Amino acid sequence: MSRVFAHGALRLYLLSLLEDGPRHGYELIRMMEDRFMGLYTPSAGTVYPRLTALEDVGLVAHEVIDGKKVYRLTDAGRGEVAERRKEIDDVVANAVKSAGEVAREIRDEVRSSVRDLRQEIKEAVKDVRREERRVGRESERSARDAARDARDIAREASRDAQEAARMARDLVRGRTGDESRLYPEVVTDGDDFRVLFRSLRRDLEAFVSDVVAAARQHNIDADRARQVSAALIEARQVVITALSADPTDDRR
Amino acid sequence: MAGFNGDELDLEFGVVASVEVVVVGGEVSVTAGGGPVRVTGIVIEGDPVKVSLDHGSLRVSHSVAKHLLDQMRGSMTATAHISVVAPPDVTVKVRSVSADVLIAGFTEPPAVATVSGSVTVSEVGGLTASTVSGPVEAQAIRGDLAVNAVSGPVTILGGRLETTAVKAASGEILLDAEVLGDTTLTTVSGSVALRLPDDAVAMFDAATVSGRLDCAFPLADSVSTKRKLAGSIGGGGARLRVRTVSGDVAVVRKRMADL
Repeated sequence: MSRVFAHGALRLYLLSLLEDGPRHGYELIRMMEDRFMGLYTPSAGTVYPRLTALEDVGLVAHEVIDGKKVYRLTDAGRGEVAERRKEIDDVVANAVKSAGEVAREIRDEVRSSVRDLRQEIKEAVKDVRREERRVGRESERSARDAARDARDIAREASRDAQEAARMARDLVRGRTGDESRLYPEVVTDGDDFRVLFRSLRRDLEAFVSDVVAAARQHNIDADRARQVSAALIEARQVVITALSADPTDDRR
Repeated sequence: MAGFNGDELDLEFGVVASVEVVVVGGEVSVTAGGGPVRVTGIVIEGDPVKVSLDHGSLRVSHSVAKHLLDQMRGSMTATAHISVVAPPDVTVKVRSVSADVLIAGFTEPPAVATVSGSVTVSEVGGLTASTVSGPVEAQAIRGDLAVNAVSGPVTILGGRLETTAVKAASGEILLDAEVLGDTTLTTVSGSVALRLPDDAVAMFDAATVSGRLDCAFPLADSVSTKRKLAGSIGGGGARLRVRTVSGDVAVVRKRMADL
Protein backbone atom coordinates (compact mmCIF):
# COMPACT_ATOMS: atom_id res chain seq x y z
CA MET A 1 0.00 0.00 0.00
CA SER A 2 2.44 2.59 -1.17
CA ARG A 3 -0.30 5.20 -1.24
CA VAL A 4 0.44 5.81 2.45
CA PHE A 5 3.17 8.24 1.47
CA ALA A 6 3.03 10.94 -1.12
CA HIS A 7 6.18 11.54 -3.12
CA GLY A 8 9.00 12.75 -0.87
CA ALA A 9 6.95 12.28 2.29
CA LEU A 10 8.71 9.12 3.46
CA ARG A 11 11.97 11.00 3.58
CA LEU A 12 10.48 13.61 5.90
CA TYR A 13 8.81 10.97 8.00
CA LEU A 14 12.11 9.13 8.54
CA LEU A 15 13.71 12.36 9.69
CA SER A 16 10.91 12.90 12.20
CA LEU A 17 11.36 9.38 13.59
CA LEU A 18 15.05 10.07 14.24
CA GLU A 19 14.19 13.22 16.15
CA ASP A 20 13.81 11.35 19.44
CA GLY A 21 17.16 9.66 19.19
CA PRO A 22 19.34 7.31 17.13
CA ARG A 23 17.66 4.21 15.66
CA HIS A 24 18.78 1.35 13.53
CA GLY A 25 17.03 0.59 10.25
CA TYR A 26 14.95 -2.30 11.51
CA GLU A 27 13.72 -0.24 14.45
CA LEU A 28 12.58 2.45 12.06
CA ILE A 29 10.62 -0.12 10.06
CA ARG A 30 8.99 -1.45 13.23
CA MET A 31 8.11 2.06 14.37
CA MET A 32 6.41 2.80 11.12
CA GLU A 33 4.56 -0.49 11.19
CA ASP A 34 3.26 0.28 14.69
CA ARG A 35 2.35 3.76 13.68
CA PHE A 36 0.20 2.46 10.83
CA MET A 37 -1.39 -0.36 12.82
CA GLY A 38 0.08 -2.93 10.53
CA LEU A 39 -1.58 -1.39 7.51
CA TYR A 40 1.71 -0.30 6.10
CA THR A 41 4.96 -2.18 6.48
CA PRO A 42 7.74 -0.42 4.65
CA SER A 43 10.23 -2.86 3.22
CA ALA A 44 13.94 -2.71 3.90
CA GLY A 45 14.35 -2.02 0.20
CA THR A 46 12.28 1.12 0.62
CA VAL A 47 13.79 2.41 3.84
CA TYR A 48 17.53 1.78 3.48
CA PRO A 49 18.02 3.57 0.16
CA ARG A 50 16.15 6.57 1.62
CA LEU A 51 18.47 6.57 4.64
CA THR A 52 21.52 6.34 2.37
CA ALA A 53 20.20 9.24 0.32
CA LEU A 54 19.64 11.30 3.47
CA GLU A 55 23.16 10.47 4.53
CA ASP A 56 24.52 11.54 1.15
CA VAL A 57 23.04 15.01 1.58
CA GLY A 58 24.35 15.20 5.13
CA LEU A 59 21.02 15.14 6.99
CA VAL A 60 21.72 11.87 8.82
CA ALA A 61 24.86 9.99 9.81
CA HIS A 62 25.38 6.44 10.99
CA GLU A 63 27.72 4.52 13.19
CA VAL A 64 28.02 0.77 13.46
CA ILE A 65 27.11 -0.62 16.87
CA ASP A 66 27.12 -4.40 17.41
CA GLY A 67 27.29 -4.90 13.65
CA LYS A 68 24.18 -2.78 13.02
CA LYS A 69 24.05 0.62 11.44
CA VAL A 70 22.51 3.08 13.84
CA TYR A 71 21.28 6.31 12.27
CA ARG A 72 21.03 9.70 13.90
CA LEU A 73 20.15 13.20 12.78
CA THR A 74 23.05 15.55 12.00
CA ASP A 75 22.83 19.24 12.88
CA ALA A 76 21.78 19.88 9.30
CA GLY A 77 19.12 17.17 9.71
CA ARG A 78 17.84 18.78 12.87
CA GLY A 79 17.70 22.09 11.02
CA GLU A 80 15.78 20.48 8.20
CA VAL A 81 13.25 18.98 10.63
CA ALA A 82 12.81 22.35 12.38
CA GLU A 83 12.41 24.16 9.08
CA ARG A 84 9.90 21.70 7.68
CA ARG A 85 8.02 21.04 10.92
CA LYS A 86 4.66 21.99 9.40
CA GLU A 87 5.15 19.68 6.41
CA ILE A 88 6.24 16.81 8.64
CA ASP A 89 3.20 17.24 10.88
CA ASP A 90 0.99 17.05 7.80
CA VAL A 91 2.73 13.91 6.61
CA VAL A 92 2.25 12.25 9.97
CA ALA A 93 -1.38 13.35 10.18
CA ASN A 94 -2.09 12.11 6.68
CA ALA A 95 -0.21 8.86 7.08
CA VAL A 96 -1.73 7.79 10.36
CA LYS A 97 -5.13 6.68 9.26
CA SER A 98 -7.49 4.34 10.91
CA ALA A 99 -8.07 0.98 9.30
CA GLY A 100 -11.58 2.19 8.51
CA GLU A 101 -10.28 5.23 6.70
CA VAL A 102 -7.87 3.16 4.65
CA ALA A 103 -10.67 0.74 3.84
CA ARG A 104 -12.90 3.59 2.74
CA GLU A 105 -10.12 4.90 0.57
CA ILE A 106 -9.71 1.53 -1.11
CA ARG A 107 -13.46 1.27 -1.55
CA ASP A 108 -13.66 4.72 -3.11
CA GLU A 109 -10.81 3.86 -5.41
CA VAL A 110 -12.42 0.61 -6.57
CA ARG A 111 -15.79 2.29 -6.96
CA SER A 112 -14.45 5.11 -9.04
CA SER A 113 -12.56 2.62 -11.23
CA VAL A 114 -15.74 0.60 -11.59
CA ARG A 115 -17.71 3.72 -12.52
CA ASP A 116 -15.13 4.62 -15.15
CA LEU A 117 -15.16 1.07 -16.48
CA ARG A 118 -18.96 0.98 -16.70
CA GLN A 119 -18.92 4.25 -18.61
CA GLU A 120 -16.16 3.10 -20.94
CA ILE A 121 -17.76 -0.26 -21.63
CA LYS A 122 -21.17 1.28 -22.19
CA GLU A 123 -19.67 3.65 -24.74
CA ALA A 124 -17.81 0.79 -26.41
CA VAL A 125 -20.96 -1.34 -26.52
CA LYS A 126 -22.87 1.57 -28.05
CA ASP A 127 -20.11 1.93 -30.65
CA VAL A 128 -20.23 -1.76 -31.53
CA ARG A 129 -24.02 -1.66 -31.88
CA ARG A 130 -23.93 1.57 -33.86
CA GLU A 131 -21.34 0.06 -36.20
CA GLU A 132 -23.43 -3.06 -36.66
CA ARG A 133 -26.56 -1.03 -37.26
CA ARG A 134 -24.72 1.11 -39.79
CA VAL A 135 -23.47 -1.95 -41.67
CA GLY A 136 -26.95 -3.43 -41.44
CA ARG A 137 -28.55 -0.22 -42.62
CA GLU A 138 -26.13 0.08 -45.51
CA SER A 139 -26.81 -3.38 -46.80
CA GLU A 140 -30.49 -2.81 -46.23
CA ARG A 141 -30.27 0.46 -48.06
CA SER A 142 -28.40 -0.97 -51.04
CA ALA A 143 -30.98 -3.77 -51.30
CA ARG A 144 -33.74 -1.20 -51.09
CA ASP A 145 -32.06 0.98 -53.72
CA ALA A 146 -31.72 -1.98 -56.07
CA ALA A 147 -35.35 -2.87 -55.56
CA ARG A 148 -36.38 0.72 -56.19
CA ASP A 149 -34.23 0.88 -59.32
CA ALA A 150 -35.80 -2.29 -60.65
CA ARG A 151 -39.27 -1.04 -59.83
CA ASP A 152 -38.59 2.31 -61.50
CA ILE A 153 -37.31 0.57 -64.59
CA ALA A 154 -40.27 -1.75 -64.71
CA ARG A 155 -42.65 1.19 -64.25
CA GLU A 156 -40.91 3.10 -66.98
CA ALA A 157 -41.10 0.15 -69.30
CA SER A 158 -44.73 -0.38 -68.48
CA ARG A 159 -45.38 3.34 -68.95
CA ASP A 160 -43.73 3.17 -72.34
CA ALA A 161 -45.81 0.15 -73.22
CA GLN A 162 -48.99 1.84 -72.03
CA GLU A 163 -48.09 4.95 -73.89
CA ALA A 164 -47.57 2.92 -77.02
CA ALA A 165 -50.84 1.18 -76.38
CA ARG A 166 -52.63 4.46 -75.78
CA MET A 167 -51.25 5.94 -78.95
CA ALA A 168 -52.25 2.88 -80.84
CA ARG A 169 -55.69 2.92 -79.23
CA ASP A 170 -56.20 6.59 -80.03
CA LEU A 171 -55.14 5.91 -83.49
CA VAL A 172 -57.47 2.97 -83.76
CA ARG A 173 -60.34 4.79 -82.02
CA GLY A 174 -59.81 7.84 -84.11
CA ARG A 175 -59.94 5.78 -87.21
CA THR A 176 -62.79 3.59 -86.07
CA GLY A 177 -64.73 6.39 -84.36
CA ASP A 178 -64.82 9.15 -86.82
CA GLU A 179 -62.83 8.04 -89.76
CA SER A 180 -64.75 10.36 -92.05
CA ARG A 181 -63.59 13.45 -90.17
CA LEU A 182 -60.00 12.41 -89.58
CA TYR A 183 -59.37 10.49 -92.69
CA PRO A 184 -62.07 11.50 -95.17
CA GLU A 185 -60.19 9.91 -97.96
CA VAL A 186 -60.36 6.37 -96.53
CA VAL A 187 -64.00 6.30 -95.50
CA THR A 188 -65.01 4.35 -98.52
CA ASP A 189 -63.14 1.27 -97.28
CA GLY A 190 -64.69 1.69 -93.82
CA ASP A 191 -65.55 -1.93 -93.15
CA ASP A 192 -62.09 -3.13 -94.08
CA PHE A 193 -60.58 -0.49 -91.81
CA ARG A 194 -62.84 -1.41 -88.96
CA VAL A 195 -61.81 -5.04 -89.24
CA LEU A 196 -58.18 -4.11 -89.66
CA PHE A 197 -58.06 -1.74 -86.71
CA ARG A 198 -60.06 -3.98 -84.46
CA SER A 199 -57.54 -6.72 -85.01
CA LEU A 200 -54.71 -4.22 -84.67
CA ARG A 201 -56.17 -3.02 -81.39
CA ARG A 202 -56.42 -6.57 -80.08
CA ASP A 203 -52.83 -7.18 -81.08
CA LEU A 204 -51.72 -4.00 -79.42
CA GLU A 205 -53.62 -4.70 -76.23
CA ALA A 206 -52.20 -8.20 -76.09
CA PHE A 207 -48.79 -6.75 -76.77
CA VAL A 208 -49.19 -4.18 -74.00
CA SER A 209 -50.46 -6.63 -71.45
CA ASP A 210 -47.72 -9.13 -72.30
CA VAL A 211 -45.02 -6.51 -71.97
CA VAL A 212 -46.43 -5.15 -68.71
CA ALA A 213 -46.85 -8.65 -67.29
CA ALA A 214 -43.34 -9.61 -68.32
CA ALA A 215 -41.94 -6.44 -66.84
CA ARG A 216 -43.77 -7.14 -63.60
CA GLN A 217 -42.94 -10.80 -63.37
CA HIS A 218 -39.29 -10.89 -64.24
CA ASN A 219 -36.51 -9.42 -62.24
CA ILE A 220 -35.30 -7.18 -64.94
CA ASP A 221 -32.09 -5.30 -64.39
CA ALA A 222 -31.41 -1.76 -65.48
CA ASP A 223 -29.74 -2.76 -68.77
CA ARG A 224 -32.55 -5.10 -69.75
CA ALA A 225 -35.14 -2.47 -68.90
CA ARG A 226 -33.33 0.08 -71.04
CA GLN A 227 -33.25 -2.41 -73.92
CA VAL A 228 -36.95 -3.09 -73.53
CA SER A 229 -37.69 0.59 -73.37
CA ALA A 230 -35.61 1.27 -76.48
CA ALA A 231 -37.27 -1.62 -78.28
CA LEU A 232 -40.71 -0.26 -77.42
CA ILE A 233 -39.85 3.20 -78.60
CA GLU A 234 -38.41 1.73 -81.75
CA ALA A 235 -41.46 -0.47 -82.24
CA ARG A 236 -43.73 2.53 -81.73
CA GLN A 237 -41.74 4.47 -84.24
CA VAL A 238 -41.89 1.60 -86.70
CA VAL A 239 -45.64 1.26 -86.28
CA ILE A 240 -46.25 4.98 -86.56
CA THR A 241 -44.00 5.20 -89.55
CA ALA A 242 -45.79 2.26 -91.10
CA LEU A 243 -49.16 3.84 -90.43
CA SER A 244 -47.96 7.21 -91.64
CA ALA A 245 -46.88 5.61 -94.84
CA ASP A 246 -50.53 5.29 -95.54
CA PRO A 247 -51.69 5.46 -99.13
CA THR A 248 -53.31 8.76 -98.11
CA ASP A 249 -49.78 10.22 -98.01
CA ASP A 250 -49.42 9.43 -101.63
CA ARG A 251 -52.60 11.32 -102.27
CA ARG A 252 -51.48 14.48 -100.49
CA MET B 1 -10.39 -19.29 23.78
CA ALA B 2 -10.46 -15.55 24.24
CA GLY B 3 -13.68 -13.64 24.08
CA PHE B 4 -14.65 -10.02 24.17
CA ASN B 5 -17.86 -8.04 23.92
CA GLY B 6 -17.96 -4.32 23.55
CA ASP B 7 -19.53 -1.23 22.06
CA GLU B 8 -16.22 0.20 21.09
CA LEU B 9 -13.38 -2.19 20.54
CA ASP B 10 -9.74 -2.13 19.70
CA LEU B 11 -8.20 -5.56 20.07
CA GLU B 12 -5.04 -7.30 18.99
CA PHE B 13 -4.54 -11.01 18.45
CA GLY B 14 -1.46 -13.06 17.79
CA VAL B 15 -1.67 -16.08 15.57
CA VAL B 16 -4.81 -16.23 13.51
CA ALA B 17 -5.52 -18.57 10.61
CA SER B 18 -8.97 -17.41 9.65
CA VAL B 19 -11.18 -14.38 10.15
CA GLU B 20 -14.94 -14.54 10.07
CA VAL B 21 -17.12 -11.46 10.37
CA VAL B 22 -20.89 -11.73 10.67
CA VAL B 23 -22.85 -8.50 10.86
CA VAL B 24 -26.23 -6.98 10.10
CA GLY B 25 -25.83 -3.35 9.09
CA GLY B 26 -23.05 -0.82 8.89
CA GLU B 27 -19.63 -1.30 7.39
CA VAL B 28 -17.06 -4.07 7.49
CA SER B 29 -13.55 -3.91 6.20
CA VAL B 30 -11.01 -6.68 6.29
CA THR B 31 -7.66 -5.61 4.95
CA ALA B 32 -4.25 -7.22 4.85
CA GLY B 33 -1.38 -5.77 6.80
CA GLY B 34 1.72 -6.76 8.71
CA GLY B 35 1.91 -7.23 12.44
CA PRO B 36 -0.70 -8.68 14.75
CA VAL B 37 -4.35 -9.05 13.86
CA ARG B 38 -6.18 -5.94 14.90
CA VAL B 39 -9.91 -5.58 15.29
CA THR B 40 -11.39 -2.13 15.72
CA GLY B 41 -15.07 -1.32 15.79
CA ILE B 42 -17.83 0.94 16.93
CA VAL B 43 -21.40 -0.13 17.57
CA ILE B 44 -23.79 2.46 16.25
CA GLU B 45 -26.97 0.62 17.08
CA GLY B 46 -27.75 -2.62 18.87
CA ASP B 47 -26.01 -5.09 21.15
CA PRO B 48 -22.26 -5.18 21.73
CA VAL B 49 -20.05 -6.83 19.11
CA LYS B 50 -18.85 -10.30 20.05
CA VAL B 51 -15.28 -11.25 19.28
CA SER B 52 -13.86 -14.70 19.90
CA LEU B 53 -10.69 -16.56 19.01
CA ASP B 54 -10.87 -20.31 18.96
CA HIS B 55 -7.97 -22.43 17.70
CA GLY B 56 -6.81 -19.71 15.35
CA SER B 57 -10.29 -18.89 14.12
CA LEU B 58 -11.17 -15.30 14.84
CA ARG B 59 -14.87 -14.57 14.80
CA VAL B 60 -16.40 -11.12 15.00
CA SER B 61 -20.17 -11.02 15.14
CA HIS B 62 -22.80 -8.43 15.63
CA SER B 63 -26.35 -9.65 15.58
CA VAL B 64 -29.87 -8.65 16.38
CA ALA B 65 -30.92 -9.82 19.83
CA LYS B 66 -32.34 -13.30 19.53
CA HIS B 67 -34.85 -13.08 22.34
CA LEU B 68 -38.11 -11.29 21.87
CA LEU B 69 -37.69 -9.65 25.26
CA ASP B 70 -34.35 -8.16 24.19
CA GLN B 71 -35.79 -7.07 20.90
CA MET B 72 -38.58 -5.29 22.76
CA ARG B 73 -35.95 -3.45 24.74
CA GLY B 74 -34.98 -1.75 21.52
CA SER B 75 -32.28 -3.89 19.89
CA MET B 76 -34.22 -4.60 16.74
CA THR B 77 -31.39 -3.57 14.52
CA ALA B 78 -27.66 -3.88 14.65
CA THR B 79 -25.37 -1.39 13.01
CA ALA B 80 -21.63 -1.37 13.49
CA HIS B 81 -18.48 -0.28 11.75
CA ILE B 82 -15.90 -3.01 12.03
CA SER B 83 -12.37 -3.07 10.68
CA VAL B 84 -10.05 -6.04 10.79
CA VAL B 85 -6.43 -5.92 9.74
CA ALA B 86 -4.88 -9.35 9.37
CA PRO B 87 -1.87 -10.97 7.71
CA PRO B 88 -2.35 -11.49 3.97
CA ASP B 89 -2.38 -15.30 4.22
CA VAL B 90 -5.43 -15.74 6.47
CA THR B 91 -8.70 -16.96 5.03
CA VAL B 92 -11.48 -14.39 5.24
CA LYS B 93 -15.21 -14.93 5.44
CA VAL B 94 -17.76 -12.15 5.74
CA ARG B 95 -21.53 -12.32 5.97
CA SER B 96 -23.73 -9.26 6.17
CA VAL B 97 -27.37 -8.34 5.83
CA SER B 98 -27.12 -4.74 4.75
CA ALA B 99 -23.59 -3.82 5.78
CA ASP B 100 -21.17 -2.74 3.06
CA VAL B 101 -18.18 -5.06 2.87
CA LEU B 102 -14.65 -4.33 1.78
CA ILE B 103 -11.94 -6.97 1.56
CA ALA B 104 -8.48 -6.20 0.25
CA GLY B 105 -5.07 -7.73 -0.03
CA PHE B 106 -5.42 -11.42 0.80
CA THR B 107 -3.71 -14.25 -1.00
CA GLU B 108 -6.38 -16.80 -0.05
CA PRO B 109 -9.73 -16.39 -1.80
CA PRO B 110 -12.22 -14.72 0.54
CA ALA B 111 -15.89 -15.66 0.76
CA VAL B 112 -18.53 -12.93 1.05
CA ALA B 113 -22.28 -13.14 1.32
CA THR B 114 -24.65 -10.23 1.65
CA VAL B 115 -28.30 -9.43 1.15
CA SER B 116 -28.31 -5.74 0.30
CA GLY B 117 -24.86 -4.53 1.23
CA SER B 118 -22.26 -3.66 -1.35
CA VAL B 119 -19.28 -5.95 -1.79
CA THR B 120 -15.99 -4.36 -2.78
CA VAL B 121 -12.95 -6.54 -3.19
CA SER B 122 -9.47 -5.59 -4.29
CA GLU B 123 -6.21 -7.47 -4.81
CA VAL B 124 -7.18 -10.93 -3.64
CA GLY B 125 -6.29 -14.46 -4.75
CA GLY B 126 -9.78 -15.39 -5.97
CA LEU B 127 -13.27 -14.71 -4.69
CA THR B 128 -16.54 -16.40 -3.81
CA ALA B 129 -19.37 -13.92 -3.41
CA SER B 130 -23.12 -14.00 -3.24
CA THR B 131 -25.53 -11.10 -3.09
CA VAL B 132 -29.23 -10.44 -3.42
CA SER B 133 -29.45 -6.77 -4.28
CA GLY B 134 -26.09 -5.36 -3.33
CA PRO B 135 -23.53 -4.68 -6.06
CA VAL B 136 -20.35 -6.73 -6.29
CA GLU B 137 -17.30 -4.80 -7.44
CA ALA B 138 -14.05 -6.68 -7.66
CA GLN B 139 -10.74 -5.31 -8.75
CA ALA B 140 -7.51 -7.15 -9.46
CA ILE B 141 -8.64 -10.68 -8.66
CA ARG B 142 -6.02 -13.35 -9.28
CA GLY B 143 -7.47 -16.82 -9.18
CA ASP B 144 -10.89 -18.44 -9.34
CA LEU B 145 -13.97 -16.29 -9.29
CA ALA B 146 -17.48 -17.41 -8.39
CA VAL B 147 -20.26 -14.85 -7.99
CA ASN B 148 -23.98 -15.37 -7.52
CA ALA B 149 -26.26 -12.35 -7.67
CA VAL B 150 -29.98 -11.78 -7.91
CA SER B 151 -30.50 -8.15 -8.80
CA GLY B 152 -27.14 -6.81 -7.78
CA PRO B 153 -24.83 -5.77 -10.62
CA VAL B 154 -21.48 -7.54 -10.83
CA THR B 155 -18.39 -5.71 -12.05
CA ILE B 156 -15.04 -7.43 -12.42
CA LEU B 157 -12.24 -5.06 -13.19
CA GLY B 158 -8.69 -6.08 -14.02
CA GLY B 159 -6.94 -9.11 -12.67
CA ARG B 160 -6.23 -12.55 -14.03
CA LEU B 161 -9.05 -15.02 -13.68
CA GLU B 162 -8.41 -18.75 -13.67
CA THR B 163 -11.93 -20.12 -13.81
CA THR B 164 -14.88 -17.77 -13.69
CA ALA B 165 -18.53 -18.46 -12.97
CA VAL B 166 -20.85 -15.49 -12.58
CA LYS B 167 -24.58 -15.97 -12.31
CA ALA B 168 -27.14 -13.20 -12.01
CA ALA B 169 -30.87 -12.89 -12.49
CA SER B 170 -31.62 -9.26 -13.29
CA GLY B 171 -28.23 -7.95 -12.32
CA GLU B 172 -25.94 -6.96 -15.14
CA ILE B 173 -22.45 -8.39 -15.50
CA LEU B 174 -19.49 -6.32 -16.58
CA LEU B 175 -16.16 -8.03 -16.94
CA ASP B 176 -12.88 -6.50 -17.97
CA ALA B 177 -10.09 -8.88 -17.06
CA GLU B 178 -7.75 -11.47 -18.44
CA VAL B 179 -9.70 -14.69 -18.60
CA LEU B 180 -7.28 -17.58 -18.58
CA GLY B 181 -9.55 -20.52 -17.84
CA ASP B 182 -13.12 -21.56 -18.52
CA THR B 183 -15.55 -18.72 -18.05
CA THR B 184 -19.31 -18.94 -17.73
CA LEU B 185 -21.50 -15.89 -17.39
CA THR B 186 -25.21 -16.43 -16.97
CA THR B 187 -28.10 -14.01 -16.50
CA VAL B 188 -31.84 -13.99 -16.95
CA SER B 189 -32.61 -10.41 -17.85
CA GLY B 190 -29.37 -8.73 -16.92
CA SER B 191 -27.08 -7.62 -19.71
CA VAL B 192 -23.57 -8.99 -20.06
CA ALA B 193 -20.71 -6.83 -21.30
CA LEU B 194 -17.20 -8.15 -21.67
CA ARG B 195 -14.17 -6.14 -22.51
CA LEU B 196 -11.23 -8.22 -23.66
CA PRO B 197 -7.76 -7.10 -24.69
CA ASP B 198 -7.04 -6.85 -28.43
CA ASP B 199 -4.87 -9.97 -28.26
CA ALA B 200 -7.42 -12.04 -26.31
CA VAL B 201 -7.88 -15.72 -27.15
CA ALA B 202 -11.07 -17.63 -26.37
CA MET B 203 -13.59 -20.09 -27.69
CA PHE B 204 -16.51 -17.72 -27.52
CA ASP B 205 -20.02 -19.07 -27.31
CA ALA B 206 -22.99 -16.84 -26.50
CA ALA B 207 -26.64 -17.77 -26.57
CA THR B 208 -29.80 -15.86 -25.73
CA VAL B 209 -33.52 -16.27 -26.15
CA SER B 210 -34.43 -12.67 -26.90
CA GLY B 211 -31.39 -10.54 -26.11
CA ARG B 212 -29.03 -8.92 -28.59
CA LEU B 213 -25.70 -10.51 -29.36
CA ASP B 214 -22.79 -8.34 -30.42
CA CYS B 215 -19.11 -9.10 -30.66
CA ALA B 216 -16.46 -6.60 -31.73
CA PHE B 217 -13.91 -9.34 -32.35
CA PRO B 218 -13.76 -11.21 -35.62
CA LEU B 219 -14.96 -14.76 -34.98
CA ALA B 220 -13.37 -17.65 -36.83
CA ASP B 221 -15.50 -20.71 -37.65
CA SER B 222 -18.40 -18.65 -36.49
CA VAL B 223 -22.01 -19.52 -35.96
CA SER B 224 -24.20 -16.46 -36.04
CA THR B 225 -27.94 -16.62 -35.69
CA LYS B 226 -30.43 -14.49 -33.84
CA ARG B 227 -30.04 -16.65 -30.77
CA LYS B 228 -26.47 -17.81 -30.95
CA LEU B 229 -23.12 -16.24 -31.63
CA ALA B 230 -20.06 -18.41 -31.40
CA GLY B 231 -16.58 -18.74 -32.82
CA SER B 232 -12.97 -18.55 -31.85
CA ILE B 233 -11.35 -15.27 -30.90
CA GLY B 234 -7.66 -14.89 -31.68
CA GLY B 235 -7.24 -18.53 -32.64
CA GLY B 236 -9.18 -19.89 -29.68
CA GLY B 237 -8.35 -20.50 -26.05
CA ALA B 238 -10.34 -21.39 -22.97
CA ARG B 239 -14.10 -21.60 -23.18
CA LEU B 240 -16.00 -18.36 -22.78
CA ARG B 241 -19.69 -19.10 -22.43
CA VAL B 242 -22.40 -16.51 -22.05
CA ARG B 243 -26.03 -17.42 -21.53
CA THR B 244 -28.98 -15.06 -21.10
CA VAL B 245 -32.71 -15.22 -21.48
CA SER B 246 -33.50 -11.64 -22.38
CA GLY B 247 -30.27 -9.90 -21.44
CA ASP B 248 -28.13 -8.32 -24.15
CA VAL B 249 -24.61 -9.63 -24.67
CA ALA B 250 -21.76 -7.51 -25.98
CA VAL B 251 -18.05 -8.18 -26.30
CA VAL B 252 -15.96 -5.12 -26.88
CA ARG B 253 -12.25 -4.68 -27.44
CA LYS B 254 -9.85 -3.11 -25.05
CA ARG B 255 -7.61 -0.99 -27.21
CA MET B 256 -4.06 -0.23 -26.19
CA ALA B 257 -5.18 3.36 -25.61
CA ASP B 258 -7.54 2.18 -22.88
CA LEU B 259 -4.78 0.55 -20.89
